[in-house]
Amino acid sequence: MSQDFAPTRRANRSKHLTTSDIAAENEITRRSFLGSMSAGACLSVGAALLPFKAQPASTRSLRSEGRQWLHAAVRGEREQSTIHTFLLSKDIARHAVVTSCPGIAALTQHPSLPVLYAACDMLPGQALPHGHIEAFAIDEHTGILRSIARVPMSLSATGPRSLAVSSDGTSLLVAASSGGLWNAFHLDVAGLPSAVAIARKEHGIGRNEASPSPARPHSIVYLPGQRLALATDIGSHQISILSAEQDHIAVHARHQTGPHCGPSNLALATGSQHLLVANVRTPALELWRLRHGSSAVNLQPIAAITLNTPVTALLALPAIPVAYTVRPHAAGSVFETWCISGTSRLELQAVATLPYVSATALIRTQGTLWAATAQGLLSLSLEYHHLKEASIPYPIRGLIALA
Amino acid sequence: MFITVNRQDPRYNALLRGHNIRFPASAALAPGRIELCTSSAEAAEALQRAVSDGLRPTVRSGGHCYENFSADNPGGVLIDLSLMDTVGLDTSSRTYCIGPGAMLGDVYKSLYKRYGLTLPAGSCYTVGAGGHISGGGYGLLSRLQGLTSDWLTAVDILTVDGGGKVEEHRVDQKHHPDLFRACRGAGTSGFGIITNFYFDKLPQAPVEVAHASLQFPWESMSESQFTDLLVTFGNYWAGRGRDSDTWGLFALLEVGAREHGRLGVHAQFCQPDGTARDLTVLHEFFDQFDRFNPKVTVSSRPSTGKSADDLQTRDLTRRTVSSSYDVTVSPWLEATIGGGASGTGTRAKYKSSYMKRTFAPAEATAIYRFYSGSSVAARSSVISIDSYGGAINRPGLAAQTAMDQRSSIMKLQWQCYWHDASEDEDHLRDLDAFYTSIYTGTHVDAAHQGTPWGDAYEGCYMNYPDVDMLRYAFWPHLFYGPGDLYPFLQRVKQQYDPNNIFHHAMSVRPA
Repeated sequence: MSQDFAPTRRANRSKHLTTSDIAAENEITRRSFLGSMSAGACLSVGAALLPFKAQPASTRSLRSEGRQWLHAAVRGEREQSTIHTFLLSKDIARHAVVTSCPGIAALTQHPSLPVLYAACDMLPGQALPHGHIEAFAIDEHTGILRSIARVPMSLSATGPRSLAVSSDGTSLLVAASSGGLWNAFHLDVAGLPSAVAIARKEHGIGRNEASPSPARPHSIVYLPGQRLALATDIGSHQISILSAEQDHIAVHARHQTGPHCGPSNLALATGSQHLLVANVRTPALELWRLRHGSSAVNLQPIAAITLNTPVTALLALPAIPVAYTVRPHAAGSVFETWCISGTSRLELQAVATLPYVSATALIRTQGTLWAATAQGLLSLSLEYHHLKEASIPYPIRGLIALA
Repeated sequence: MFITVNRQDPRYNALLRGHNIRFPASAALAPGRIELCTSSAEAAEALQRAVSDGLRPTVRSGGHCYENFSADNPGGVLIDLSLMDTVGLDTSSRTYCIGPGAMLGDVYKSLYKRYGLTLPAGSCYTVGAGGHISGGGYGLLSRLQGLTSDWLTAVDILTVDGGGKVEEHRVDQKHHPDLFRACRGAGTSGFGIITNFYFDKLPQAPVEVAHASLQFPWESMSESQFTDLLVTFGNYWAGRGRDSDTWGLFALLEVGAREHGRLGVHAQFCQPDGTARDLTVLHEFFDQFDRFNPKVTVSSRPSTGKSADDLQTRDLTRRTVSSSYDVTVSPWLEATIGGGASGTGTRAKYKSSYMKRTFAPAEATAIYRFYSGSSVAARSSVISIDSYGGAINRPGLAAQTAMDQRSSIMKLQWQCYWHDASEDEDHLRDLDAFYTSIYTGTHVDAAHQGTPWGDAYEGCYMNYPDVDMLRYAFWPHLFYGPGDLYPFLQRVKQQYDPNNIFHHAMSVRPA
């Protein structure tokens, strides 16, 4: 595979290096980080520290004219959680609409329909313990979200962590972390979810293990063109191959990661030939080889890099062997660029410090990376797949998810 | 091997429903399969299969659950224990053993005929032992002999460990004592599946009991007279009813729609020695209602002594009215053996409360006005005001069991029955509003309006579950008391069901 990027810093090829080694080697400080950025980016970062002036977006109509919408979930107190919709134009995001969505925890979009799905946790005072799924129709011209369905998750399915739609648009899978459950909903031709969830209850690691822990379903990624999904469980240290069937959720295979790993975030890489897995209990980034046919998936771990802090956001480019991670570092985060070499090695290519920023999601559109951070929507401009500059054009506090 | 009944099985529809036909609420909410078990081993196997399949298990013994805890389980597994109905002496442990599927009527017959013993349990004879005993259990002999679970000395219970493996335990005060305590009153609240109940000893069955009933002229009763009646009933249990020579007296004050004339007291009495030779206590109790102009109805058997001089009148006003017939198609099993239990084959809603003192005027007023009205729920519901206390309130029992309510003198049960699903919303709404109105006012703590909370109450009974109470954040304390019992149960839950395999709308929530 071609490598058409120019790494800015060559990383140590040691298999078990830590980025603290790299930081020490390259002395990345806030001053040097700001100094390496363009003047415009510095002003953007500076602007992030100023009070945010709300845009009267709901009264304006931003015509998309074929451009793209980016939706960001903001988790607020009680019923103040919202979805902020931005109109993207190249690397510019313009705030368009704010939609109320109490309890929001995760977002995903339908692969082919203008429908946005939000997984929401139970609200204080709610009688029955379960989250719910809310589906929104996206007005492709204005970005306005209109709620078209609200269905309960199964009883005790609380703490939704992520959700994903199959590539054929017929199934929605949800990871209910607190409840230790997966939920599946069938989607009709309009993208509306079924009224009753299909549930699969998981169990964790028992007391005979060194560290007993209950099941904590975490992330879901559907394989392109298939109804099979890869799903992680931090509590049982498993990667499962799941599918939503007519009346049950099938488990096609389970792969145990190492003890105490806690696999959390997932990303398909290199045209779905590899799977990147971020472990949170014992911080690490793992590379798995992925072979999949129409109904079978084979996973094999091939590389692992120990980290000193867990990855909080992970993204792999679909066709190019590059991946990005964000994880805590000092008073902010580090943004790391990885390369999957032709020999299936995972190599750290570059590290940049993001002061005072903590990110939980990464998404790429039109060559620009966007991160959901506690400090706002972070724009990460790339050059040759490496970070060129970063800014927070919209310091909306509490972003937790992007779609 | 347990018997699997899936959706295609012709028995599925008949076995799916319990006595409250509101549940399952729809076909989509019904379990995917029913596993009929005849032994603990089969129950363990069925449970392991459900857990391994990732399916939620719910449990049914007699099918009298008031809410949807068993039947609403979309795609899950209903583990049916109704065939585990043995009653007898366990030869290895020399203790009395009752299977969860045994119906109370069969329990009474078997214990009485074989051993001359009984269990102070409920009066609905098709209720299964599984839910009844583990949820506390209470009946006509409880003032004399205590709650059903007060007599429990061990249980066999299936739990699921953190790794998803089913384990069987024999639990008692020495082995897994915390789990045992939880099974004595909160056993239906999400710890595991009880497959056997053991009793080292059981009380002697009474030799004979006296029954009597009074009917009151509801149609001509004023609000103040009605209030006086309720206060009089309650005052007895708050005063004279605490004396141990009255503990053999159980009485139920039934209040229903005024237009149906349902207002009466029904009583059963025996002396502590199990005989009914001296009915002084019974007469003393009934005498206090003389000023309400009651009609004394015929007792169930001839009585001797003083009671033989009582005026006995037969209620000749009751008659049946024939009407044009409806054709109802129902499963064969239900048509053959249906009936014989309260609420069988109807849609129903229930509520409960415990009272530590007699009625406040505001409460009596609310009841009077509701049942003098014409709402659908007024016409189709009754309140059973049961005597309580006596041996139930013996010191120390709260700390040994999961039944915290040990200071009450009355237990109230609201029962509402109807047939038409289109009337669900009206009945549920009206009954809830009625219940809430009784506990609204200065007689209830300001932060707990609408609920039986405060110095005069001890909350609600979990064997009469009511999901309406979930709208209150303090609902666990309504059912388990304001003290440490609920946190204790959460710790037991964490230890024995760390993955929350056993859960329903009102099960103990993971901490």
